Amino acid sequence: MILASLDAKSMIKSKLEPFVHINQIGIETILLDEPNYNRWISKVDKSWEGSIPATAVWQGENWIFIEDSFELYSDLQNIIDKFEIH
Amino acid sequence: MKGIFLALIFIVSSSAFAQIEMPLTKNSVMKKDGTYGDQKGKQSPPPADVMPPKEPIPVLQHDPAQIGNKKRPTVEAEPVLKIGDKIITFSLKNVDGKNYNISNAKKKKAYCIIFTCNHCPFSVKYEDRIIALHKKYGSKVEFVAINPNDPSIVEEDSYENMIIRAKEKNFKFPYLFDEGQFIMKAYGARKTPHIFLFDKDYKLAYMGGIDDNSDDPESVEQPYLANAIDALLKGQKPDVEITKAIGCSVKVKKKS
Repeated sequence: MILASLDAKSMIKSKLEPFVHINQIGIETILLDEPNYNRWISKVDKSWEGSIPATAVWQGENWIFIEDSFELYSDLQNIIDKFEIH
Repeated sequence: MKGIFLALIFIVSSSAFAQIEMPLTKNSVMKKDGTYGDQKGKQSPPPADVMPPKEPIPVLQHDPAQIGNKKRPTVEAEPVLKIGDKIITFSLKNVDGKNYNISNAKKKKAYCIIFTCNHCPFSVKYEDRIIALHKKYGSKVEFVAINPNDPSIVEEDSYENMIIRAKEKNFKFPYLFDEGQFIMKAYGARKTPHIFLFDKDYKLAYMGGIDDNSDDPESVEQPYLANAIDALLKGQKPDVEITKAIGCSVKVKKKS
């Protein structure tokens, strides 16, 4: 699992690092520093309007994209459970 | 192991990570006169050529329980409002306490509807640019900002806080509260900021982002909105009619 932060590069120290620390996010977090959004949003998913949070889950050809936040942890869990993980 | 398994979540650190959000409700109410939302107070009927689409409003929703494995989409999603569609009229409460009705706005060469809000870092980054655009084009283009968020989810986006922000930033354009979130749904506004630019005949000419660099105004190469306005002022169609930009999802109340 990877968290892709769309914070401004200038906010790494002031916002992103404290956020990752305070929320005890023990997963890989990257800063997606590509401000020309129009060039890549549709490359992630053509149905994506650009709102965040947004989540892509995939395995091989199977792909689920959620342009919304999750109300419950189990909502994300249910999506991941749809994939066969061995 | 059957192939690589990956989950990629796009976030911004200042948005609440465990934000409670739910799909929009299925039916948005359209009034008999074809407008949406709060219709209290005096107003004249919209011009005959300013009418919303008659078909039902598509719903933005996801139900994780209903989602099966599927393939990556190969075509763009159909927007709620399409280029060339007529404006959807509205009457909403402005930060000055009065209702603002787009149908009563002075006739101009273009109408720029900006869904934005107080709390979203992307909206905040664009505040000064919106003010500058209004300063440059305001005499010829009607600018209207609308906050589509439910303040029960994000208190910072309450009507009272909108008044404070409008004063702080000295907004010279209306900043309206989309109480009930009817207008956001009717437009298919998914995020803040989200632009809908209409031409002099109230037809949608451009939608999407303001420019191609939210972080740094100095590094902008494509000022999409300004280019689209310039084209309309020359009586031309914008070269770029739709763009996509990152923004904060519109905050919609949890269904109980």
